[in-house]
Amino acid sequence: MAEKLLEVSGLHASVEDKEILSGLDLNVSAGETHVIMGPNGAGKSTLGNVILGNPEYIINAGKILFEGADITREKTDARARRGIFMSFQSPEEVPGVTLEDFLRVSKTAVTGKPLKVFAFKKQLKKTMAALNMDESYAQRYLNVGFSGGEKKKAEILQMLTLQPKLAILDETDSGLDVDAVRIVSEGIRQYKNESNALLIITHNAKILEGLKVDYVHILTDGKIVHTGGPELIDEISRDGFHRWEESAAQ
Amino acid sequence: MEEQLKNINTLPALTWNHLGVNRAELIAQQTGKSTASIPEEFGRIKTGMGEEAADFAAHNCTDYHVIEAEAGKEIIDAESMRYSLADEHPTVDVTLIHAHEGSSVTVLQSYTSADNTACFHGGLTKIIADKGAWVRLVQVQMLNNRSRHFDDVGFLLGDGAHAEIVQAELGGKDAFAGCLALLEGYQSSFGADTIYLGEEDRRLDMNYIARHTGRKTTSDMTAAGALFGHSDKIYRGTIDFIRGASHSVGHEVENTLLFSPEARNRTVPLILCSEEDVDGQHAATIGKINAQRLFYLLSRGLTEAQAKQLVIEAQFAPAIAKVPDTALQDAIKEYLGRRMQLD
Ligand SMILES: Nc1ncnc2c1ncn2[C@@H]1O[C@H](COP(=O)(O)OP(=O)(O)OP(=O)(O)O)[C@@H](O)[C@H]1O
Ligand SMILES: [Mg+2]
Repeated sequence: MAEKLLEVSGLHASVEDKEILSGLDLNVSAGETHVIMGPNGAGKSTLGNVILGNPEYIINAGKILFEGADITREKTDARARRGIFMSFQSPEEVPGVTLEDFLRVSKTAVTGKPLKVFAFKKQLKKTMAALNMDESYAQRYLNVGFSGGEKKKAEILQMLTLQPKLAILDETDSGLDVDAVRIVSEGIRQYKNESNALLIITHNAKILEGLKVDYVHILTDGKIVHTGGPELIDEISRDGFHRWEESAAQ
Repeated sequence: MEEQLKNINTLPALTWNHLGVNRAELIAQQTGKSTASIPEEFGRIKTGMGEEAADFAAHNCTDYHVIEAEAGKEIIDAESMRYSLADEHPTVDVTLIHAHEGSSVTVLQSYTSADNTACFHGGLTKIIADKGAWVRLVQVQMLNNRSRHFDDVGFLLGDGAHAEIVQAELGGKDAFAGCLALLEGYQSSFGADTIYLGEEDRRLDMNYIARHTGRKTTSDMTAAGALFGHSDKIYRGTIDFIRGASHSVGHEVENTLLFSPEARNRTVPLILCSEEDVDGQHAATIGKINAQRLFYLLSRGLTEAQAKQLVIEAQFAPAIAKVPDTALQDAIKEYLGRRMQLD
Protein backbone atom coordinates (compact mmCIF):
# COMPACT_ATOMS: atom_id res chain seq x y z
CA MET A 1 0.00 0.00 0.00
CA ALA A 2 1.17 3.49 -0.82
CA GLU A 3 2.32 5.63 2.04
CA LYS A 4 -0.34 7.94 3.45
CA LEU A 5 0.59 11.60 3.13
CA LEU A 6 -2.42 13.65 4.11
CA GLU A 7 -5.33 12.58 6.27
CA VAL A 8 -8.04 15.09 6.98
CA SER A 9 -10.90 13.93 9.14
CA GLY A 10 -14.07 15.59 10.42
CA LEU A 11 -12.65 19.03 9.75
CA HIS A 12 -14.71 22.03 10.80
CA ALA A 13 -13.21 25.46 10.20
CA SER A 14 -14.57 28.96 10.43
CA VAL A 15 -13.61 32.54 9.79
CA GLU A 16 -15.16 35.45 11.68
CA ASP A 17 -17.63 33.06 13.36
CA LYS A 18 -18.87 31.78 10.02
CA GLU A 19 -18.40 28.07 9.45
CA ILE A 20 -16.88 27.36 6.05
CA LEU A 21 -15.69 23.78 6.30
CA SER A 22 -18.23 21.56 7.97
CA GLY A 23 -17.05 18.03 8.44
CA LEU A 24 -14.57 17.47 5.66
CA ASP A 25 -12.72 14.20 5.11
CA LEU A 26 -9.91 13.68 2.63
CA ASN A 27 -7.08 11.17 2.29
CA VAL A 28 -4.16 11.55 -0.07
CA SER A 29 -1.41 8.97 -0.47
CA ALA A 30 1.98 9.25 -2.09
CA GLY A 31 1.89 8.93 -5.86
CA GLU A 32 -1.69 10.11 -6.20
CA THR A 33 -3.27 13.01 -8.04
CA HIS A 34 -6.50 14.36 -6.57
CA VAL A 35 -8.76 16.95 -8.11
CA ILE A 36 -11.18 19.08 -6.16
CA MET A 37 -14.03 20.75 -7.96
CA GLY A 38 -16.86 22.77 -6.55
CA PRO A 39 -18.85 25.93 -6.99
CA ASN A 40 -17.50 29.38 -6.11
CA GLY A 41 -17.47 29.97 -2.40
CA ALA A 42 -17.73 26.26 -1.56
CA GLY A 43 -14.59 26.36 0.60
CA LYS A 44 -11.90 25.00 -1.74
CA SER A 45 -9.34 27.73 -1.11
CA THR A 46 -10.23 27.62 2.56
CA LEU A 47 -9.30 23.94 2.61
CA GLY A 48 -5.89 24.74 1.10
CA ASN A 49 -5.36 27.52 3.63
CA VAL A 50 -6.35 25.31 6.54
CA ILE A 51 -4.08 22.47 5.43
CA LEU A 52 -1.25 25.02 5.53
CA GLY A 53 -2.38 26.49 8.84
CA ASN A 54 -3.42 30.00 7.88
CA PRO A 55 -4.14 31.56 11.31
CA GLU A 56 -7.08 33.50 9.88
CA TYR A 57 -9.11 30.31 9.97
CA ILE A 58 -10.12 28.73 13.23
CA ILE A 59 -10.33 24.96 13.43
CA ASN A 60 -13.32 24.00 15.54
CA ALA A 61 -13.13 20.24 15.20
CA GLY A 62 -11.31 17.53 13.32
CA LYS A 63 -7.76 16.59 12.60
CA ILE A 64 -5.09 16.98 9.97
CA LEU A 65 -2.33 14.41 9.80
CA PHE A 66 0.69 14.55 7.54
CA GLU A 67 2.78 11.42 7.20
CA GLY A 68 1.09 10.22 10.34
CA ALA A 69 1.98 13.27 12.44
CA ASP A 70 -0.79 15.43 13.84
CA ILE A 71 -0.23 18.90 12.38
CA THR A 72 -3.65 20.35 13.22
CA ARG A 73 -2.12 22.97 15.52
CA GLU A 74 1.27 23.30 13.89
CA LYS A 75 2.58 26.58 12.52
CA THR A 76 2.54 27.27 8.82
CA ASP A 77 6.31 27.34 8.36
CA ALA A 78 6.71 23.99 10.10
CA ARG A 79 4.15 22.47 7.76
CA ALA A 80 5.99 23.91 4.78
CA ARG A 81 9.20 22.36 6.03
CA ARG A 82 7.43 19.01 6.24
CA GLY A 83 6.86 19.32 2.51
CA ILE A 84 3.43 20.89 2.05
CA PHE A 85 3.16 23.58 -0.62
CA MET A 86 0.35 25.62 -2.04
CA SER A 87 0.24 27.52 -5.29
CA PHE A 88 -1.96 30.44 -4.27
CA GLN A 89 -5.11 31.44 -6.07
CA SER A 90 -3.98 35.07 -5.60
CA PRO A 91 -0.23 35.18 -4.92
CA GLU A 92 0.99 38.05 -2.77
CA GLU A 93 3.31 40.77 -4.04
CA VAL A 94 6.49 41.26 -2.02
CA PRO A 95 8.24 44.51 -2.93
CA GLY A 96 11.98 44.67 -2.33
CA VAL A 97 12.58 40.92 -2.46
CA THR A 98 13.64 39.51 -5.81
CA LEU A 99 12.17 36.25 -7.06
CA GLU A 100 15.61 34.65 -7.04
CA ASP A 101 16.45 35.76 -3.52
CA PHE A 102 13.11 34.54 -2.30
CA LEU A 103 13.58 31.15 -3.91
CA ARG A 104 17.00 30.94 -2.35
CA VAL A 105 15.76 31.78 1.14
CA SER A 106 12.80 29.43 0.95
CA LYS A 107 14.82 26.59 -0.55
CA THR A 108 17.28 26.91 2.33
CA ALA A 109 14.39 27.07 4.79
CA VAL A 110 12.62 23.93 3.59
CA THR A 111 15.75 21.83 3.15
CA GLY A 112 17.42 23.10 6.30
CA LYS A 113 20.75 22.87 4.50
CA PRO A 114 23.03 25.54 3.14
CA LEU A 115 22.46 26.13 -0.53
CA LYS A 116 24.90 25.15 -3.25
CA VAL A 117 24.69 28.45 -5.02
CA PHE A 118 26.11 27.46 -8.37
CA ALA A 119 23.93 24.38 -8.78
CA PHE A 120 20.94 26.38 -7.60
CA LYS A 121 21.45 29.08 -10.20
CA LYS A 122 21.92 26.56 -12.96
CA GLN A 123 18.76 24.69 -12.01
CA LEU A 124 16.80 27.92 -11.72
CA LYS A 125 17.80 28.94 -15.21
CA LYS A 126 16.73 25.59 -16.56
CA THR A 127 13.39 25.59 -14.79
CA MET A 128 12.60 29.12 -15.90
CA ALA A 129 13.41 28.20 -19.48
CA ALA A 130 11.12 25.17 -19.25
CA LEU A 131 8.31 27.42 -18.02
CA ASN A 132 9.06 29.87 -20.81
CA MET A 133 9.80 32.61 -18.26
CA ASP A 134 12.25 35.30 -19.19
CA GLU A 135 15.41 35.09 -17.10
CA SER A 136 15.11 38.73 -16.14
CA TYR A 137 12.13 37.84 -13.94
CA ALA A 138 14.52 36.27 -11.44
CA GLN A 139 15.76 39.78 -10.63
CA ARG A 140 12.32 41.34 -10.39
CA TYR A 141 10.57 41.83 -7.10
CA LEU A 142 8.43 38.84 -6.24
CA ASN A 143 5.13 39.10 -8.11
CA VAL A 144 5.29 42.90 -8.19
CA GLY A 145 3.80 44.04 -11.47
CA PHE A 146 3.57 40.46 -12.72
CA SER A 147 0.53 39.76 -14.84
CA GLY A 148 -2.02 37.27 -13.54
CA GLY A 149 -0.53 34.52 -15.68
CA GLU A 150 3.05 35.41 -14.76
CA LYS A 151 2.20 35.12 -11.09
CA LYS A 152 0.84 31.63 -11.63
CA LYS A 153 3.99 30.64 -13.49
CA ALA A 154 6.07 32.02 -10.65
CA GLU A 155 4.08 29.81 -8.27
CA ILE A 156 4.87 26.74 -10.33
CA LEU A 157 8.51 27.82 -10.48
CA GLN A 158 8.47 27.85 -6.68
CA MET A 159 6.88 24.40 -6.59
CA LEU A 160 9.48 22.99 -8.94
CA THR A 161 12.27 24.60 -6.94
CA LEU A 162 11.04 23.50 -3.53
CA GLN A 163 10.00 19.97 -4.60
CA PRO A 164 7.33 19.50 -1.92
CA LYS A 165 5.81 16.14 -1.02
CA LEU A 166 2.30 17.50 -1.35
CA ALA A 167 1.49 20.32 -3.74
CA ILE A 168 -1.88 22.01 -3.52
CA LEU A 169 -2.58 23.93 -6.71
CA ASP A 170 -5.38 26.42 -6.17
CA GLU A 171 -6.73 27.47 -9.56
CA THR A 172 -3.25 27.64 -11.01
CA ASP A 173 -4.80 27.48 -14.47
CA SER A 174 -6.98 30.55 -14.12
CA GLY A 175 -5.42 33.54 -15.80
CA LEU A 176 -3.19 31.43 -18.02
CA ASP A 177 -3.46 31.65 -21.78
CA VAL A 178 -3.75 28.49 -23.88
CA ASP A 179 -0.02 28.10 -24.41
CA ALA A 180 0.78 28.88 -20.80
CA VAL A 181 -1.65 26.22 -19.57
CA ARG A 182 0.18 23.70 -21.72
CA ILE A 183 3.58 24.78 -20.42
CA VAL A 184 2.42 24.76 -16.83
CA SER A 185 0.80 21.31 -17.15
CA GLU A 186 4.06 20.07 -18.57
CA GLY A 187 5.85 21.50 -15.54
CA ILE A 188 3.40 19.74 -13.24
CA ARG A 189 3.94 16.46 -15.10
CA GLN A 190 7.68 16.83 -14.64
CA TYR A 191 7.23 17.37 -10.93
CA LYS A 192 4.93 14.42 -10.32
CA ASN A 193 6.44 11.13 -9.23
CA GLU A 194 5.61 8.09 -7.14
CA SER A 195 6.58 9.60 -3.82
CA ASN A 196 4.75 12.92 -4.02
CA ALA A 197 1.15 13.92 -4.48
CA LEU A 198 -0.98 16.60 -6.09
CA LEU A 199 -4.18 18.19 -4.89
CA ILE A 200 -5.50 20.26 -7.76
CA ILE A 201 -8.31 22.74 -7.26
CA THR A 202 -9.73 23.77 -10.60
CA HIS A 203 -12.78 24.88 -12.52
CA ASN A 204 -11.20 23.92 -15.78
CA ALA A 205 -10.26 20.54 -17.13
CA LYS A 206 -7.51 21.82 -19.39
CA ILE A 207 -4.74 21.81 -16.83
CA LEU A 208 -5.44 18.14 -16.17
CA GLU A 209 -4.68 17.05 -19.71
CA GLY A 210 -1.77 14.68 -19.72
CA LEU A 211 -2.01 14.07 -15.97
CA LYS A 212 -3.17 10.77 -14.61
CA VAL A 213 -5.97 11.76 -12.25
CA ASP A 214 -6.78 9.21 -9.57
CA TYR A 215 -9.67 10.85 -7.72
CA VAL A 216 -12.07 13.68 -8.28
CA HIS A 217 -13.82 15.14 -5.25
CA ILE A 218 -16.84 17.36 -5.31
CA LEU A 219 -16.76 19.98 -2.60
CA THR A 220 -19.91 21.91 -1.85
CA ASP A 221 -20.95 23.76 1.28
CA GLY A 222 -17.77 22.91 3.11
CA LYS A 223 -17.91 19.15 2.63
CA ILE A 224 -16.79 16.60 0.14
CA VAL A 225 -20.10 15.24 -1.05
CA HIS A 226 -18.92 12.83 -3.68
CA THR A 227 -15.70 11.19 -4.81
CA GLY A 228 -15.22 9.49 -8.14
CA GLY A 229 -12.75 8.92 -10.92
CA PRO A 230 -11.65 11.17 -13.78
CA GLU A 231 -14.92 10.55 -15.60
CA LEU A 232 -16.48 13.07 -13.20
CA ILE A 233 -14.55 15.90 -14.82
CA ASP A 234 -16.46 15.67 -18.07
CA GLU A 235 -19.72 15.19 -16.29
CA ILE A 236 -19.22 18.39 -14.32
CA SER A 237 -18.05 20.33 -17.35
CA ARG A 238 -21.28 19.29 -19.02
CA ASP A 239 -23.86 19.41 -16.24
CA GLY A 240 -22.34 21.63 -13.56
CA PHE A 241 -22.67 21.03 -9.82
CA HIS A 242 -26.42 21.12 -9.66
CA ARG A 243 -26.87 17.48 -8.90
CA TRP A 244 -24.41 17.51 -6.01
CA GLU A 245 -25.68 20.70 -4.52
CA GLU A 246 -29.19 19.27 -4.43
CA SER A 247 -28.07 16.03 -2.89
CA ALA A 248 -26.14 17.98 -0.28
CA ALA A 249 -29.25 19.93 0.58
CA GLN A 250 -31.31 16.81 1.09
CA MET B 1 25.20 66.58 35.16
CA GLU B 2 22.23 66.64 32.93
CA GLU B 3 21.17 69.49 30.74
CA GLN B 4 17.75 69.89 29.27
CA LEU B 5 17.63 71.02 25.66
CA LYS B 6 14.23 72.47 24.87
CA ASN B 7 14.27 73.41 21.21
CA ILE B 8 15.32 70.35 19.34
CA ASN B 9 14.38 69.28 15.82
CA THR B 10 12.17 72.30 15.37
CA LEU B 11 9.90 72.26 12.37
CA PRO B 12 10.78 75.19 10.03
CA ALA B 13 7.12 76.22 9.85
CA LEU B 14 5.17 75.50 12.98
CA THR B 15 1.96 73.58 12.82
CA TRP B 16 -0.85 72.86 15.28
CA ASN B 17 0.72 72.56 18.66
CA HIS B 18 -1.50 69.73 19.79
CA LEU B 19 0.04 67.41 17.23
CA GLY B 20 3.18 67.57 19.30
CA VAL B 21 5.49 67.60 16.32
CA ASN B 22 6.72 71.21 16.32
CA ARG B 23 9.79 70.47 18.38
CA ALA B 24 11.26 67.99 20.81
CA GLU B 25 13.09 68.15 24.10
CA LEU B 26 16.02 66.07 25.09
CA ILE B 27 18.05 65.50 28.20
CA ALA B 28 21.73 65.59 27.42
CA GLN B 29 24.54 64.48 29.68
CA GLN B 30 27.33 66.97 30.23
CA THR B 31 30.79 65.59 29.81
CA GLY B 32 32.78 68.22 31.67
CA LYS B 33 35.11 68.34 28.70
CA SER B 34 36.50 71.36 26.95
CA THR B 35 34.91 73.43 24.26
CA ALA B 36 35.64 72.53 20.67
CA SER B 37 36.75 75.44 18.57
CA ILE B 38 34.55 75.82 15.54
CA PRO B 39 36.38 77.78 12.83
CA GLU B 40 34.50 80.69 11.36
CA GLU B 41 33.86 79.03 8.01
CA PHE B 42 31.86 76.34 9.84
CA GLY B 43 30.25 78.78 12.24
CA ARG B 44 27.57 79.84 9.78
CA ILE B 45 26.46 76.29 8.99
CA LYS B 46 23.07 75.53 10.49
CA THR B 47 22.13 72.04 11.56
CA GLY B 48 18.97 69.97 11.50
CA MET B 49 18.56 69.66 15.25
CA GLY B 50 19.11 73.36 15.80
CA GLU B 51 21.44 75.64 17.72
CA GLU B 52 20.85 74.26 21.21
CA ALA B 53 22.01 70.79 20.22
CA ALA B 54 24.92 72.11 18.19
CA ASP B 55 26.05 74.40 21.02
CA PHE B 56 25.76 71.63 23.55
CA ALA B 57 27.97 69.40 21.40
CA ALA B 58 30.54 72.13 20.90
CA HIS B 59 30.72 72.77 24.67
CA ASN B 60 30.96 69.12 25.69
CA CYS B 61 33.22 67.77 23.02
CA THR B 62 35.11 64.60 23.92
CA ASP B 63 36.24 63.65 20.42
CA TYR B 64 37.21 66.20 17.84
CA HIS B 65 37.93 65.42 14.21
CA VAL B 66 38.81 67.66 11.33
CA ILE B 67 38.91 66.24 7.83
CA GLU B 68 40.15 68.41 5.04
CA ALA B 69 40.28 67.10 1.50
CA GLU B 70 42.45 69.20 -0.75
CA ALA B 71 41.24 70.10 -4.21
CA GLY B 72 40.86 67.04 -6.41
CA LYS B 73 41.88 64.59 -3.65
CA GLU B 74 39.92 61.60 -2.38
CA ILE B 75 39.52 60.67 1.28
CA ILE B 76 37.76 57.61 2.62
CA ASP B 77 37.65 57.36 6.39
CA ALA B 78 35.73 54.30 7.52
CA GLU B 79 37.87 53.57 10.59
CA SER B 80 38.74 56.51 12.82
CA MET B 81 35.23 57.37 14.00
CA ARG B 82 33.92 54.12 15.38
CA TYR B 83 32.74 54.61 18.90
CA SER B 84 32.05 51.89 21.42
CA LEU B 85 30.24 53.39 24.37
CA ALA B 86 29.82 52.56 28.05
CA ASP B 87 28.17 54.62 30.78
CA GLU B 88 31.29 55.96 32.45
CA HIS B 89 32.27 57.64 29.23
CA PRO B 90 29.58 59.85 27.76
CA THR B 91 30.78 60.63 24.28
CA VAL B 92 30.24 63.81 22.33
CA ASP B 93 32.01 63.92 19.01
CA VAL B 94 32.42 66.99 16.88
CA THR B 95 33.51 66.45 13.30
CA LEU B 96 34.26 69.13 10.76
CA ILE B 97 34.68 68.15 7.14
CA HIS B 98 35.83 70.46 4.40
CA ALA B 99 35.81 69.02 0.90
CA HIS B 100 37.61 71.47 -1.33
CA GLU B 101 36.93 71.93 -5.02
CA GLY B 102 36.55 68.68 -6.92
CA SER B 103 37.50 66.49 -3.97
CA SER B 104 35.69 63.39 -2.82
CA VAL B 105 35.10 62.42 0.81
CA THR B 106 33.45 59.38 2.38
CA VAL B 107 33.19 59.28 6.16
CA LEU B 108 31.76 56.58 8.39
CA GLN B 109 30.70 57.22 11.97
CA SER B 110 29.39 54.30 13.97
CA TYR B 111 28.08 54.06 17.52
CA THR B 112 27.66 50.82 19.40
CA SER B 113 27.40 49.84 23.06
CA ALA B 114 30.34 48.10 24.68
CA ASP B 115 28.06 46.58 27.31
CA ASN B 116 24.46 46.88 28.47
CA THR B 117 24.89 50.00 30.58
CA ALA B 118 22.95 53.13 29.76
CA CYS B 119 25.20 55.47 27.87
CA PHE B 120 25.00 58.86 26.26
CA HIS B 121 26.15 59.95 22.85
CA GLY B 122 25.86 63.31 21.19
CA GLY B 123 27.31 64.16 17.82
CA LEU B 124 27.78 67.24 15.70
CA THR B 125 29.04 67.03 12.15
CA LYS B 126 29.41 70.04 9.87
CA ILE B 127 30.33 69.70 6.27
CA ILE B 128 31.39 72.11 3.56
CA ALA B 129 31.34 70.79 0.01
CA ASP B 130 33.01 73.27 -2.31
CA LYS B 131 32.52 73.54 -6.04
CA GLY B 132 32.15 70.15 -7.68
CA ALA B 133 33.00 68.22 -4.50
CA TRP B 134 31.35 64.90 -3.64
CA VAL B 135 30.66 63.95 -0.01
CA ARG B 136 29.00 60.99 1.62
CA LEU B 137 28.50 60.85 5.37
CA VAL B 138 27.36 57.51 6.79
CA GLN B 139 26.18 57.26 10.38
CA VAL B 140 25.24 53.95 11.95
CA GLN B 141 23.74 53.86 15.43
CA MET B 142 23.20 50.47 17.10
CA LEU B 143 23.29 51.40 20.79
CA ASN B 144 21.59 49.26 23.40
CA ASN B 145 17.99 49.86 24.47
CA ARG B 146 18.93 51.94 27.51
CA SER B 147 21.04 54.56 25.81
CA ARG B 148 20.40 58.10 24.67
CA HIS B 149 21.75 59.49 21.48
CA PHE B 150 21.66 62.45 19.17
CA ASP B 151 23.27 63.18 15.88
CA ASP B 152 23.16 66.67 14.50
CA VAL B 153 24.37 67.41 11.00
CA GLY B 154 24.67 70.43 8.74
CA PHE B 155 25.82 70.71 5.13
CA LEU B 156 26.79 73.67 3.01
CA LEU B 157 26.96 73.00 -0.72
CA GLY B 158 28.77 75.05 -3.35
CA ASP B 159 28.27 75.09 -7.13
CA GLY B 160 27.77 71.63 -8.58
CA ALA B 161 28.59 69.97 -5.26
CA HIS B 162 26.90 66.73 -4.30
CA ALA B 163 26.48 65.65 -0.70
CA GLU B 164 24.57 62.86 0.87
CA ILE B 165 23.89 61.48 4.28
CA VAL B 166 23.06 57.89 5.13
CA GLN B 167 21.72 57.42 8.63
CA ALA B 168 20.83 54.14 10.24
CA GLU B 169 19.04 54.79 13.52
CA LEU B 170 18.65 51.25 14.77
CA GLY B 171 19.11 51.33 18.52
CA GLY B 172 18.93 53.35 21.72
CA LYS B 173 16.15 54.28 24.12
CA ASP B 174 15.89 57.85 22.86
CA ALA B 175 17.37 58.61 19.48
CA PHE B 176 17.39 62.03 17.88
CA ALA B 177 18.70 62.85 14.45
CA GLY B 178 18.61 66.00 12.44
CA CYS B 179 20.16 67.20 9.25
CA LEU B 180 20.00 70.48 7.40
CA ALA B 181 21.46 70.90 3.94
CA LEU B 182 21.85 74.37 2.52
CA LEU B 183 21.91 74.08 -1.25
CA GLU B 184 23.54 77.37 -2.02
CA GLY B 185 25.55 76.50 -5.11
CA TYR B 186 24.18 76.45 -8.62
CA GLN B 187 23.17 72.88 -9.55
CA SER B 188 24.17 71.45 -6.21
CA SER B 189 22.43 68.30 -5.07
CA PHE B 190 21.69 66.62 -1.76
CA GLY B 191 20.48 63.15 -0.87
CA ALA B 192 19.38 61.68 2.46
CA ASP B 193 18.83 57.99 3.02
CA THR B 194 17.49 57.20 6.44
CA ILE B 195 16.58 53.85 7.89
CA TYR B 196 15.17 53.44 11.35
CA LEU B 197 14.03 50.68 13.64
CA GLY B 198 11.61 51.31 16.49
CA GLU B 199 11.12 48.67 19.13
CA GLU B 200 10.00 48.31 22.74
CA ASP B 201 9.60 51.86 24.05
CA ARG B 202 12.19 53.51 21.85
CA ARG B 203 11.57 57.12 20.91
CA LEU B 204 12.84 58.23 17.52
CA ASP B 205 12.76 61.88 16.62
CA MET B 206 14.07 63.04 13.26
CA ASN B 207 14.23 66.33 11.44
CA TYR B 208 15.49 66.73 7.89
CA ILE B 209 15.60 69.98 6.02
CA ALA B 210 16.74 70.60 2.46
CA ARG B 211 16.97 74.35 2.04
CA HIS B 212 17.27 75.39 -1.59
CA THR B 213 18.68 78.85 -2.25
CA GLY B 214 20.73 78.15 -5.40
CA ARG B 215 19.29 77.76 -8.87
CA LYS B 216 18.71 74.32 -10.36
CA THR B 217 19.35 72.56 -7.10
CA THR B 218 18.09 69.06 -6.32
CA SER B 219 17.23 67.27 -3.11
CA ASP B 220 16.09 63.73 -2.60
CA MET B 221 15.22 62.44 0.85
CA THR B 222 14.20 58.86 1.49
CA ALA B 223 13.32 57.25 4.78
CA ALA B 224 12.40 53.65 5.42
CA GLY B 225 11.62 52.22 8.80
CA ALA B 226 10.00 49.49 10.80
CA LEU B 227 8.14 49.99 14.06
CA PHE B 228 7.58 47.33 16.70
CA GLY B 229 6.36 47.28 20.27
CA HIS B 230 5.46 50.62 21.85
CA SER B 231 7.97 52.60 19.86
CA ASP B 232 7.18 56.19 19.03
CA LYS B 233 8.56 57.85 15.93
CA ILE B 234 8.38 61.31 14.44
CA TYR B 235 9.89 62.00 11.05
CA ARG B 236 9.91 65.58 9.82
CA GLY B 237 11.00 66.18 6.28
CA THR B 238 11.05 69.71 4.92
CA ILE B 239 11.89 70.92 1.46
CA ASP B 240 12.34 74.65 1.70
CA PHE B 241 12.52 76.55 -1.58
CA ILE B 242 13.83 80.06 -0.93
CA ARG B 243 13.26 82.86 -3.41
CA GLY B 244 15.88 82.61 -6.12
CA ALA B 245 16.03 78.80 -6.15
CA SER B 246 14.34 78.67 -9.52
CA HIS B 247 14.21 75.42 -11.46
CA SER B 248 14.94 73.44 -8.35
CA VAL B 249 13.49 70.06 -7.57
CA GLY B 250 12.91 68.34 -4.25
CA HIS B 251 11.49 64.93 -3.45
CA GLU B 252 10.86 63.14 -0.23
CA VAL B 253 9.54 59.66 0.37
CA GLU B 254 8.93 57.73 3.54
CA ASN B 255 8.00 54.06 3.80
CA THR B 256 7.07 52.79 7.22
CA LEU B 257 6.35 49.20 8.12
CA LEU B 258 4.10 48.99 11.13
CA PHE B 259 4.39 45.72 12.97
CA SER B 260 2.59 46.70 16.11
CA PRO B 261 -0.75 48.38 16.71
CA GLU B 262 0.76 50.00 19.81
CA ALA B 263 3.54 51.72 17.91
CA ARG B 264 3.08 55.42 17.23
CA ASN B 265 3.98 56.67 13.79
CA ARG B 266 4.00 60.34 12.95
CA THR B 267 5.22 61.81 9.69
CA VAL B 268 5.38 65.51 8.92
CA PRO B 269 6.21 66.23 5.30
CA LEU B 270 6.52 69.93 4.59
CA ILE B 271 7.15 71.77 1.36
CA LEU B 272 7.73 75.49 1.70
CA CYS B 273 7.85 77.67 -1.41
CA SER B 274 8.81 81.29 -1.49
CA GLU B 275 9.98 80.66 -5.05
CA GLU B 276 7.35 79.68 -7.59
CA ASP B 277 9.35 78.05 -10.32
CA VAL B 278 10.12 74.85 -8.40
CA ASP B 279 8.95 71.27 -8.18
CA GLY B 280 8.47 69.69 -4.78
CA GLN B 281 6.89 66.32 -4.08
CA HIS B 282 6.36 64.08 -1.15
CA ALA B 283 4.93 60.62 -0.69
CA ALA B 284 4.46 58.41 2.31
CA THR B 285 3.32 54.84 2.58
CA ILE B 286 2.49 53.01 5.74
CA GLY B 287 2.56 49.28 5.26
CA LYS B 288 1.07 47.01 7.80
CA ILE B 289 2.84 43.81 7.09
CA ASN B 290 -0.45 42.28 6.27
CA ALA B 291 -1.41 38.89 7.56
CA GLN B 292 -1.93 37.44 4.12
CA ARG B 293 1.56 38.41 2.92
CA LEU B 294 3.08 37.00 6.07
CA PHE B 295 1.16 33.75 5.56
CA TYR B 296 2.46 33.59 2.00
CA LEU B 297 6.07 33.89 3.18
CA LEU B 298 5.57 31.37 5.99
CA SER B 299 3.99 28.93 3.56
CA ARG B 300 7.38 28.76 1.86
CA GLY B 301 9.07 27.60 5.02
CA LEU B 302 10.34 30.90 6.41
CA THR B 303 9.90 31.40 10.13
CA GLU B 304 8.04 34.50 11.21
CA ALA B 305 11.32 36.13 12.22
CA GLN B 306 12.89 35.32 8.87
CA ALA B 307 9.87 36.63 7.00
CA LYS B 308 9.92 39.93 8.87
CA GLN B 309 13.64 40.24 8.44
CA LEU B 310 13.32 39.63 4.72
CA VAL B 311 10.72 42.34 4.32
CA ILE B 312 12.65 44.84 6.43
CA GLU B 313 15.99 44.13 4.81
CA ALA B 314 14.39 44.67 1.45
CA GLN B 315 13.39 48.16 2.59
CA PHE B 316 16.76 48.85 4.13
CA ALA B 317 18.94 47.35 1.42
CA PRO B 318 19.64 50.52 -0.60
CA ALA B 319 20.85 52.39 2.50
CA ILE B 320 22.86 49.45 3.89
CA ALA B 321 24.60 49.09 0.52
CA LYS B 322 26.05 52.58 1.02
CA VAL B 323 27.85 51.69 4.26
CA PRO B 324 31.51 51.76 3.21
CA ASP B 325 32.52 48.55 4.98
CA THR B 326 31.10 45.14 4.13
CA ALA B 327 31.82 43.76 7.59
CA LEU B 328 29.67 46.50 9.09
CA GLN B 329 26.98 45.86 6.48
CA ASP B 330 26.88 42.25 7.65
CA ALA B 331 26.87 43.34 11.27
CA ILE B 332 23.81 45.50 10.59
CA LYS B 333 21.98 42.61 8.95
CA GLU B 334 22.93 40.33 11.82
CA TYR B 335 21.76 42.94 14.31
CA LEU B 336 18.41 43.20 12.51
CA GLY B 337 18.15 39.42 12.45
CA ARG B 338 18.71 39.25 16.20
CA ARG B 339 16.09 41.93 16.85
CA MET B 340 13.53 40.03 14.79
CA GLN B 341 14.13 36.90 16.87
CA LEU B 342 13.14 38.88 19.94
CA ASP B 343 9.85 40.20 18.61
N1 LIG C 1 -10.67 35.40 5.17
C1 LIG C 1 -11.99 35.32 4.98
N2 LIG C 1 -12.80 36.22 5.55
C2 LIG C 1 -14.14 36.18 5.35
N3 LIG C 1 -14.74 35.25 4.60
C3 LIG C 1 -13.98 34.33 4.01
C4 LIG C 1 -12.57 34.32 4.16
N4 LIG C 1 -12.07 33.29 3.46
C5 LIG C 1 -13.13 32.68 2.89
N5 LIG C 1 -14.27 33.30 3.23
C6 LIG C 1 -15.62 32.91 2.79
O1 LIG C 1 -15.71 31.52 2.84
C7 LIG C 1 -16.37 31.00 1.72
C8 LIG C 1 -15.48 30.02 0.99
O2 LIG C 1 -14.41 30.74 0.37
P1 LIG C 1 -13.30 30.02 -0.49
O3 LIG C 1 -12.35 31.07 -0.92
O4 LIG C 1 -12.75 28.89 0.27
O5 LIG C 1 -14.14 29.50 -1.73
P2 LIG C 1 -13.66 28.72 -3.02
O6 LIG C 1 -14.34 27.43 -3.01
O7 LIG C 1 -12.20 28.72 -3.10
O8 LIG C 1 -14.28 29.64 -4.17
P3 LIG C 1 -13.69 30.07 -5.60
O9 LIG C 1 -14.04 28.96 -6.53
O10 LIG C 1 -14.46 31.29 -5.93
O11 LIG C 1 -12.24 30.30 -5.48
C9 LIG C 1 -16.79 32.18 0.90
O12 LIG C 1 -18.11 32.51 1.21
C10 LIG C 1 -15.86 33.26 1.34
O13 LIG C 1 -16.45 34.53 1.22
MG1 LIG D 1 -10.83 29.61 -4.30
